[in-house]
Amino acid sequence: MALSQSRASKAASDAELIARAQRGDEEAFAALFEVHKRRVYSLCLRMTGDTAEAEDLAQEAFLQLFRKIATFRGESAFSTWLHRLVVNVVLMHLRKKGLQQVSLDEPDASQDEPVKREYGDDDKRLLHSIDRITLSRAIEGLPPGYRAVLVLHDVEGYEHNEIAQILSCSVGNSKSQLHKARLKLRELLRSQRLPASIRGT
Amino acid sequence: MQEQGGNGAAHWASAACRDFDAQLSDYLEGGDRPGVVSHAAECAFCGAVLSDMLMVRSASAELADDEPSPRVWANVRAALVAEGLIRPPRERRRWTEWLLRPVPAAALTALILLSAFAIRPVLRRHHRTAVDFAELVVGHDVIQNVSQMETAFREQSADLNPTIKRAYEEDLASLNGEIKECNDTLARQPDDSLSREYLVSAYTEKARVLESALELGDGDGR
Repeated sequence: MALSQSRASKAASDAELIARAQRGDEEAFAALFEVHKRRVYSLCLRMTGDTAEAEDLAQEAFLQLFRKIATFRGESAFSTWLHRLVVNVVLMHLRKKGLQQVSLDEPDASQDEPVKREYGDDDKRLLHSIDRITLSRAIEGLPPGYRAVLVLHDVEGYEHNEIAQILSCSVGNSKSQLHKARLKLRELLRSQRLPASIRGT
Repeated sequence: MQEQGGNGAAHWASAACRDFDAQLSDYLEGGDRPGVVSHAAECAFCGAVLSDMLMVRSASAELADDEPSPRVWANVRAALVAEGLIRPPRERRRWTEWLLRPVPAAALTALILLSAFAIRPVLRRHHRTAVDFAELVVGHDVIQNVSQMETAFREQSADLNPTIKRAYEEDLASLNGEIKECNDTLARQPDDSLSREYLVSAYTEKARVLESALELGDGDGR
Protein backbone atom coordinates (compact mmCIF):
# COMPACT_ATOMS: atom_id res chain seq x y z
CA MET A 1 0.00 0.00 0.00
CA ALA A 2 2.72 2.41 1.06
CA LEU A 3 4.68 1.47 -2.02
CA SER A 4 1.77 2.08 -4.37
CA GLN A 5 1.06 5.41 -2.67
CA SER A 6 4.69 6.33 -3.07
CA ARG A 7 4.59 5.39 -6.77
CA ALA A 8 1.39 7.35 -7.29
CA SER A 9 2.89 10.33 -5.55
CA LYS A 10 6.02 10.10 -7.67
CA ALA A 11 3.98 9.78 -10.87
CA ALA A 12 1.99 12.85 -9.90
CA SER A 13 5.18 14.70 -9.16
CA ASP A 14 6.67 13.64 -12.51
CA ALA A 15 3.49 14.67 -14.32
CA GLU A 16 3.56 18.13 -12.80
CA LEU A 17 7.24 18.58 -13.60
CA ILE A 18 6.74 17.33 -17.15
CA ALA A 19 3.89 19.76 -17.71
CA ARG A 20 6.06 22.62 -16.47
CA ALA A 21 9.06 21.46 -18.53
CA GLN A 22 6.83 21.36 -21.62
CA ARG A 23 6.30 25.08 -21.02
CA GLY A 24 10.06 25.67 -20.85
CA ASP A 25 10.27 25.98 -17.07
CA GLU A 26 13.94 25.62 -16.18
CA GLU A 27 13.33 24.59 -12.59
CA ALA A 28 11.21 21.70 -13.84
CA PHE A 29 14.00 20.52 -16.16
CA ALA A 30 16.47 20.75 -13.28
CA ALA A 31 14.15 18.85 -10.95
CA LEU A 32 13.53 16.08 -13.50
CA PHE A 33 17.27 15.80 -13.99
CA GLU A 34 17.83 15.69 -10.25
CA VAL A 35 15.22 12.97 -9.69
CA HIS A 36 16.44 10.67 -12.47
CA LYS A 37 20.14 11.44 -12.88
CA ARG A 38 21.51 8.67 -10.67
CA ARG A 39 19.53 5.92 -12.31
CA VAL A 40 20.31 7.17 -15.82
CA TYR A 41 24.01 7.62 -15.14
CA SER A 42 24.32 4.29 -13.35
CA LEU A 43 22.68 2.45 -16.23
CA CYS A 44 25.08 4.13 -18.67
CA LEU A 45 28.03 3.37 -16.42
CA ARG A 46 27.18 -0.29 -16.01
CA MET A 47 26.47 -0.80 -19.67
CA THR A 48 29.73 0.83 -20.78
CA GLY A 49 32.04 0.28 -17.81
CA ASP A 50 33.59 3.71 -18.38
CA THR A 51 32.83 6.85 -16.36
CA ALA A 52 33.64 9.36 -19.11
CA GLU A 53 31.54 7.51 -21.68
CA ALA A 54 28.76 7.11 -19.14
CA GLU A 55 28.65 10.85 -18.46
CA ASP A 56 28.56 11.64 -22.17
CA LEU A 57 25.77 9.14 -22.70
CA ALA A 58 23.78 10.34 -19.69
CA GLN A 59 24.08 13.86 -21.07
CA GLU A 60 22.95 12.70 -24.52
CA ALA A 61 20.05 10.75 -23.04
CA PHE A 62 18.79 13.72 -21.03
CA LEU A 63 19.12 16.00 -24.02
CA GLN A 64 17.10 13.62 -26.18
CA LEU A 65 14.57 13.31 -23.39
CA PHE A 66 14.15 17.04 -22.95
CA ARG A 67 13.96 17.62 -26.70
CA LYS A 68 11.15 15.08 -26.92
CA ILE A 69 9.39 16.01 -23.72
CA ALA A 70 6.78 18.04 -25.55
CA THR A 71 5.64 14.82 -27.22
CA PHE A 72 5.24 12.89 -23.96
CA ARG A 73 1.54 12.20 -23.46
CA GLY A 74 1.70 9.95 -20.42
CA GLU A 75 0.67 6.68 -22.09
CA SER A 76 3.49 4.96 -20.22
CA ALA A 77 5.24 5.79 -16.97
CA PHE A 78 7.74 8.56 -17.45
CA SER A 79 10.52 6.54 -15.82
CA THR A 80 9.83 3.62 -18.19
CA TRP A 81 9.93 5.97 -21.16
CA LEU A 82 13.16 7.52 -19.94
CA HIS A 83 14.71 4.17 -19.18
CA ARG A 84 13.99 2.81 -22.61
CA LEU A 85 15.41 5.93 -24.16
CA VAL A 86 18.62 5.59 -22.15
CA VAL A 87 19.02 1.96 -23.15
CA ASN A 88 18.59 2.94 -26.80
CA VAL A 89 21.17 5.71 -26.50
CA VAL A 90 23.68 3.35 -24.91
CA LEU A 91 23.07 0.56 -27.40
CA MET A 92 23.36 2.93 -30.32
CA HIS A 93 26.69 4.09 -28.92
CA LEU A 94 27.92 0.54 -28.42
CA ARG A 95 26.88 -0.43 -31.92
CA LYS A 96 28.82 2.51 -33.29
CA LYS A 97 31.83 1.25 -31.40
CA GLY A 98 31.34 -2.12 -33.04
CA LEU A 99 30.98 -4.04 -29.82
CA GLN A 100 29.21 -7.33 -29.55
CA GLN A 101 25.91 -6.17 -28.18
CA VAL A 102 24.44 -5.72 -31.61
CA SER A 103 23.06 -9.20 -31.83
CA LEU A 104 23.33 -11.84 -29.19
CA ASP A 105 22.19 -14.35 -31.76
CA GLU A 106 25.63 -14.00 -33.27
CA PRO A 107 27.69 -14.42 -30.13
CA ASP A 108 31.34 -13.58 -30.07
CA ALA A 109 33.39 -16.75 -29.87
CA SER A 110 35.45 -15.23 -27.10
CA GLN A 111 32.33 -15.12 -24.95
CA ASP A 112 31.75 -18.83 -25.26
CA GLU A 113 34.77 -19.92 -23.34
CA PRO A 114 33.87 -22.63 -20.86
CA VAL A 115 32.99 -21.30 -17.45
CA LYS A 116 35.33 -22.57 -14.81
CA ARG A 117 33.93 -24.24 -11.75
CA GLU A 118 36.88 -24.09 -9.41
CA TYR A 119 37.30 -24.57 -5.73
CA GLY A 120 39.03 -21.90 -3.72
CA ASP A 121 41.77 -22.95 -1.35
CA ASP A 122 39.80 -22.96 1.83
CA ASP A 123 36.46 -21.54 0.93
CA LYS A 124 34.32 -23.06 -1.73
CA ARG A 125 31.87 -20.19 -1.68
CA LEU A 126 32.14 -16.49 -2.23
CA LEU A 127 32.05 -14.33 0.86
CA HIS A 128 28.60 -14.06 2.32
CA SER A 129 28.27 -10.55 1.03
CA ILE A 130 29.82 -8.67 -1.86
CA ASP A 131 30.71 -5.04 -1.46
CA ARG A 132 29.32 -2.65 -4.01
CA ILE A 133 32.63 -1.56 -5.51
CA THR A 134 33.86 -5.09 -5.99
CA LEU A 135 30.63 -6.08 -7.68
CA SER A 136 30.58 -2.98 -9.88
CA ARG A 137 34.15 -3.62 -10.93
CA ALA A 138 33.43 -7.25 -11.71
CA ILE A 139 30.43 -6.25 -13.84
CA GLU A 140 32.65 -3.79 -15.69
CA GLY A 141 35.02 -6.68 -16.34
CA LEU A 142 32.39 -8.77 -18.12
CA PRO A 143 32.51 -9.05 -21.91
CA PRO A 144 30.16 -6.41 -23.36
CA GLY A 145 27.45 -8.83 -24.50
CA TYR A 146 27.28 -10.56 -21.13
CA ARG A 147 27.35 -7.22 -19.37
CA ALA A 148 24.42 -5.84 -21.31
CA VAL A 149 22.16 -8.78 -20.56
CA LEU A 150 23.17 -9.01 -16.91
CA VAL A 151 22.72 -5.29 -16.30
CA LEU A 152 19.35 -5.20 -18.03
CA HIS A 153 18.03 -8.30 -16.25
CA ASP A 154 19.62 -8.56 -12.84
CA VAL A 155 20.33 -4.89 -12.12
CA GLU A 156 17.58 -3.07 -13.98
CA GLY A 157 14.89 -5.72 -13.73
CA TYR A 158 13.96 -6.20 -17.38
CA GLU A 159 12.22 -9.43 -18.40
CA HIS A 160 13.78 -11.69 -21.00
CA ASN A 161 11.14 -10.88 -23.61
CA GLU A 162 11.93 -7.18 -23.17
CA ILE A 163 15.67 -7.81 -23.40
CA ALA A 164 15.14 -9.91 -26.51
CA GLN A 165 13.29 -7.01 -28.08
CA ILE A 166 15.86 -4.43 -27.00
CA LEU A 167 18.89 -6.45 -28.06
CA SER A 168 17.30 -8.03 -31.12
CA CYS A 169 17.87 -11.58 -30.00
CA SER A 170 15.73 -14.54 -29.02
CA VAL A 171 14.36 -15.04 -25.51
CA GLY A 172 16.30 -18.28 -25.27
CA ASN A 173 19.49 -16.50 -26.20
CA SER A 174 18.88 -13.85 -23.59
CA LYS A 175 18.44 -16.55 -20.92
CA SER A 176 21.48 -18.42 -22.07
CA GLN A 177 23.65 -15.28 -22.12
CA LEU A 178 22.42 -14.29 -18.68
CA HIS A 179 23.37 -17.63 -17.21
CA LYS A 180 26.82 -17.48 -18.75
CA ALA A 181 27.16 -13.89 -17.56
CA ARG A 182 26.36 -14.87 -13.97
CA LEU A 183 28.83 -17.72 -14.05
CA LYS A 184 31.48 -15.43 -15.51
CA LEU A 185 30.69 -12.81 -12.88
CA ARG A 186 31.13 -15.40 -10.17
CA GLU A 187 34.48 -16.32 -11.65
CA LEU A 188 35.55 -12.66 -11.73
CA LEU A 189 34.42 -12.11 -8.16
CA ARG A 190 36.36 -15.13 -6.98
CA SER A 191 39.49 -13.82 -8.68
CA GLN A 192 38.94 -10.35 -7.17
CA ARG A 193 38.75 -11.78 -3.68
CA LEU A 194 42.48 -12.32 -3.68
CA PRO A 195 44.21 -8.91 -3.66
CA ALA A 196 43.15 -6.81 -0.68
CA SER A 197 44.33 -3.70 -2.51
CA ILE A 198 41.64 -4.22 -5.11
CA ARG A 199 38.88 -5.09 -2.69
CA GLY A 200 39.71 -2.24 -0.41
CA THR A 201 39.61 0.54 -2.96
CA MET B 1 34.24 -35.89 -16.21
CA GLN B 2 36.96 -34.41 -14.07
CA GLU B 3 37.31 -30.75 -13.23
CA GLN B 4 40.43 -29.40 -11.63
CA GLY B 5 39.99 -27.20 -8.59
CA GLY B 6 41.94 -24.02 -7.85
CA ASN B 7 43.76 -25.80 -5.04
CA GLY B 8 44.70 -28.65 -7.29
CA ALA B 9 41.96 -30.84 -5.89
CA ALA B 10 39.97 -32.69 -8.47
CA HIS B 11 36.22 -32.60 -8.59
CA TRP B 12 34.46 -35.47 -10.25
CA ALA B 13 31.32 -34.20 -11.94
CA SER B 14 28.74 -36.93 -11.56
CA ALA B 15 25.66 -37.34 -13.74
CA ALA B 16 23.75 -35.53 -11.00
CA CYS B 17 26.21 -32.63 -11.21
CA ARG B 18 25.66 -32.43 -14.96
CA ASP B 19 21.89 -32.43 -14.43
CA PHE B 20 22.39 -29.68 -11.87
CA ASP B 21 24.34 -27.64 -14.42
CA ALA B 22 21.67 -28.15 -17.04
CA GLN B 23 18.82 -27.07 -14.74
CA LEU B 24 20.51 -24.31 -12.78
CA SER B 25 19.65 -21.54 -15.21
CA ASP B 26 15.95 -22.45 -15.23
CA TYR B 27 15.93 -22.68 -11.44
CA LEU B 28 17.45 -19.22 -11.10
CA GLU B 29 14.81 -17.91 -13.48
CA GLY B 30 12.11 -19.15 -11.13
CA GLY B 31 11.51 -22.55 -12.72
CA ASP B 32 10.40 -25.50 -10.60
CA ARG B 33 13.53 -27.61 -10.48
CA PRO B 34 13.55 -29.53 -7.17
CA GLY B 35 16.53 -31.56 -8.31
CA VAL B 36 18.73 -28.46 -8.19
CA VAL B 37 18.12 -27.83 -4.49
CA SER B 38 18.33 -31.44 -3.47
CA HIS B 39 21.57 -32.00 -5.34
CA ALA B 40 23.05 -28.77 -3.97
CA ALA B 41 22.36 -30.07 -0.46
CA GLU B 42 24.29 -33.26 -1.17
CA CYS B 43 27.16 -31.97 -3.31
CA ALA B 44 29.50 -29.40 -1.74
CA PHE B 45 30.77 -28.20 -5.10
CA CYS B 46 27.34 -27.61 -6.64
CA GLY B 47 26.07 -26.25 -3.31
CA ALA B 48 28.77 -23.58 -3.48
CA VAL B 49 27.86 -22.76 -7.07
CA LEU B 50 24.17 -22.38 -6.21
CA SER B 51 24.90 -20.28 -3.13
CA ASP B 52 27.19 -17.98 -5.10
CA MET B 53 24.77 -17.61 -7.97
CA LEU B 54 21.93 -16.67 -5.65
CA MET B 55 24.15 -14.13 -3.94
CA VAL B 56 25.38 -12.65 -7.22
CA ARG B 57 21.79 -12.28 -8.40
CA SER B 58 20.55 -10.61 -5.22
CA ALA B 59 23.61 -8.36 -4.89
CA SER B 60 23.15 -7.19 -8.49
CA ALA B 61 19.52 -6.33 -7.83
CA GLU B 62 20.52 -4.23 -4.82
CA LEU B 63 23.38 -2.41 -6.48
CA ALA B 64 23.21 1.25 -5.49
CA ASP B 65 23.18 3.99 -8.08
CA ASP B 66 26.14 6.25 -8.73
CA GLU B 67 26.20 10.03 -8.92
CA PRO B 68 27.18 11.77 -12.17
CA SER B 69 29.46 14.79 -11.97
CA PRO B 70 27.84 18.27 -11.92
CA ARG B 71 29.24 18.83 -15.37
CA VAL B 72 26.53 16.63 -16.87
CA TRP B 73 23.75 19.00 -15.78
CA ALA B 74 25.84 22.06 -16.68
CA ASN B 75 26.25 20.71 -20.22
CA VAL B 76 22.62 19.63 -20.55
CA ARG B 77 21.44 22.99 -19.32
CA ALA B 78 23.76 24.91 -21.63
CA ALA B 79 22.42 22.92 -24.60
CA LEU B 80 18.81 23.48 -23.55
CA VAL B 81 19.42 27.21 -23.29
CA ALA B 82 21.18 27.27 -26.66
CA GLU B 83 18.30 25.38 -28.29
CA GLY B 84 15.70 27.62 -26.70
CA LEU B 85 14.00 24.79 -24.79
CA ILE B 86 14.54 26.63 -21.53
CA ARG B 87 12.76 29.93 -21.57
CA PRO B 88 13.81 32.07 -18.60
CA PRO B 89 11.29 34.80 -17.84
CA ARG B 90 12.60 38.03 -19.34
CA GLU B 91 11.65 40.14 -16.36
CA ARG B 92 14.03 38.25 -14.13
CA ARG B 93 17.02 39.22 -16.24
CA ARG B 94 18.90 41.79 -14.20
CA TRP B 95 22.04 41.32 -12.18
CA THR B 96 24.29 39.69 -14.74
CA GLU B 97 23.18 41.76 -17.68
CA TRP B 98 26.00 44.24 -17.25
CA LEU B 99 28.48 41.41 -17.15
CA LEU B 100 27.21 39.13 -19.87
CA ARG B 101 26.39 41.70 -22.47
CA PRO B 102 29.88 43.11 -23.01
CA VAL B 103 31.53 39.69 -23.10
CA PRO B 104 29.09 36.87 -23.85
CA ALA B 105 30.44 33.49 -22.85
CA ALA B 106 30.54 32.25 -26.44
CA ALA B 107 32.70 35.20 -27.39
CA LEU B 108 34.77 34.62 -24.29
CA THR B 109 35.33 31.02 -25.32
CA ALA B 110 36.45 32.12 -28.75
CA LEU B 111 38.72 34.68 -27.16
CA ILE B 112 40.29 32.07 -24.93
CA LEU B 113 41.04 29.82 -27.87
CA LEU B 114 42.37 32.69 -29.95
CA SER B 115 44.54 33.92 -27.11
CA ALA B 116 45.96 30.49 -26.55
CA PHE B 117 46.83 30.18 -30.22
CA ALA B 118 48.37 33.60 -30.48
CA ILE B 119 50.36 33.55 -27.28
CA ARG B 120 51.67 30.01 -27.47
CA PRO B 121 55.01 30.99 -29.14
CA VAL B 122 55.71 33.49 -26.38
CA LEU B 123 56.26 30.88 -23.72
CA ARG B 124 59.89 30.60 -22.80
CA ARG B 125 61.90 28.60 -20.31
CA HIS B 126 62.28 31.02 -17.47
CA HIS B 127 60.79 31.41 -14.05
CA ARG B 128 57.28 32.81 -13.85
CA THR B 129 54.51 32.70 -11.31
CA ALA B 130 51.47 30.52 -11.80
CA VAL B 131 49.28 33.52 -12.65
CA ASP B 132 51.80 34.65 -15.24
CA PHE B 133 51.60 31.32 -17.01
CA ALA B 134 47.82 31.40 -17.08
CA GLU B 135 47.99 34.95 -18.46
CA LEU B 136 50.46 33.91 -21.11
CA VAL B 137 48.40 30.95 -22.18
CA VAL B 138 44.86 32.29 -22.06
CA GLY B 139 45.39 36.07 -21.91
CA HIS B 140 45.07 38.72 -19.20
CA ASP B 141 41.69 40.04 -20.34
CA VAL B 142 40.17 36.60 -20.44
CA ILE B 143 41.34 35.81 -16.94
CA GLN B 144 39.92 39.07 -15.69
CA ASN B 145 36.57 38.45 -17.34
CA VAL B 146 36.33 34.92 -16.01
CA SER B 147 37.31 36.22 -12.60
CA GLN B 148 34.57 38.86 -12.76
CA MET B 149 32.03 36.24 -13.72
CA GLU B 150 33.14 34.08 -10.81
CA THR B 151 32.90 37.00 -8.40
CA ALA B 152 29.40 37.77 -9.63
CA PHE B 153 28.43 34.15 -9.22
CA ARG B 154 29.78 34.05 -5.64
CA GLU B 155 27.91 37.22 -4.74
CA GLN B 156 24.58 36.02 -6.10
CA SER B 157 24.74 32.28 -5.56
CA ALA B 158 22.94 32.53 -2.22
CA ASP B 159 19.74 33.08 -4.21
CA LEU B 160 20.09 29.81 -6.10
CA ASN B 161 18.37 26.57 -5.29
CA PRO B 162 20.77 24.86 -2.79
CA THR B 163 21.09 21.68 -4.86
CA ILE B 164 21.86 23.56 -8.04
CA LYS B 165 24.19 25.91 -6.20
CA ARG B 166 26.12 22.98 -4.75
CA ALA B 167 26.39 21.38 -8.20
CA TYR B 168 27.87 24.55 -9.67
CA GLU B 169 30.23 25.03 -6.75
CA GLU B 170 31.52 21.48 -7.07
CA ASP B 171 32.02 21.94 -10.78
CA LEU B 172 33.91 25.20 -10.28
CA ALA B 173 36.03 23.68 -7.52
CA SER B 174 36.96 20.84 -9.85
CA LEU B 175 37.85 23.26 -12.67
CA ASN B 176 39.85 25.50 -10.34
CA GLY B 177 41.73 22.40 -9.24
CA GLU B 178 42.49 21.56 -12.87
CA ILE B 179 43.67 25.12 -13.51
CA LYS B 180 45.95 25.02 -10.48
CA GLU B 181 47.36 21.67 -11.52
CA CYS B 182 48.11 22.99 -15.02
CA ASN B 183 49.73 26.12 -13.61
CA ASP B 184 51.89 24.04 -11.26
CA THR B 185 52.99 21.83 -14.12
CA LEU B 186 53.77 24.81 -16.35
CA ALA B 187 55.83 26.37 -13.58
CA ARG B 188 58.03 23.29 -13.71
CA GLN B 189 57.78 22.57 -17.42
CA PRO B 190 56.86 25.76 -19.33
CA ASP B 191 56.85 23.97 -22.69
CA ASP B 192 54.49 21.21 -21.67
CA SER B 193 51.97 21.40 -24.50
CA LEU B 194 49.47 19.09 -22.87
CA SER B 195 49.26 21.30 -19.78
CA ARG B 196 48.70 24.36 -21.97
CA GLU B 197 45.89 22.59 -23.79
CA TYR B 198 44.33 21.47 -20.52
CA LEU B 199 44.65 25.00 -19.13
CA VAL B 200 42.83 26.48 -22.13
CA SER B 201 40.23 23.74 -21.92
CA ALA B 202 39.71 24.35 -18.18
CA TYR B 203 39.22 28.10 -18.66
CA THR B 204 36.87 27.48 -21.58
CA GLU B 205 34.82 25.08 -19.51
CA LYS B 206 34.88 27.45 -16.55
CA ALA B 207 33.54 30.29 -18.69
CA ARG B 208 30.78 27.99 -19.93
CA VAL B 209 29.84 26.80 -16.45
CA LEU B 210 29.80 30.37 -15.14
CA GLU B 211 27.68 31.49 -18.06
CA SER B 212 25.25 28.72 -17.26
CA ALA B 213 25.19 29.66 -13.56
CA LEU B 214 24.72 33.35 -14.25
CA GLU B 215 21.90 32.74 -16.69
CA LEU B 216 20.28 30.47 -14.14
CA GLY B 217 20.51 33.34 -11.67
CA ASP B 218 18.60 35.39 -14.23
CA GLY B 219 15.94 32.75 -14.54
CA ASP B 220 14.05 30.59 -12.13
CA GLY B 221 16.79 28.58 -10.47
CA ARG B 222 15.81 29.33 -6.94
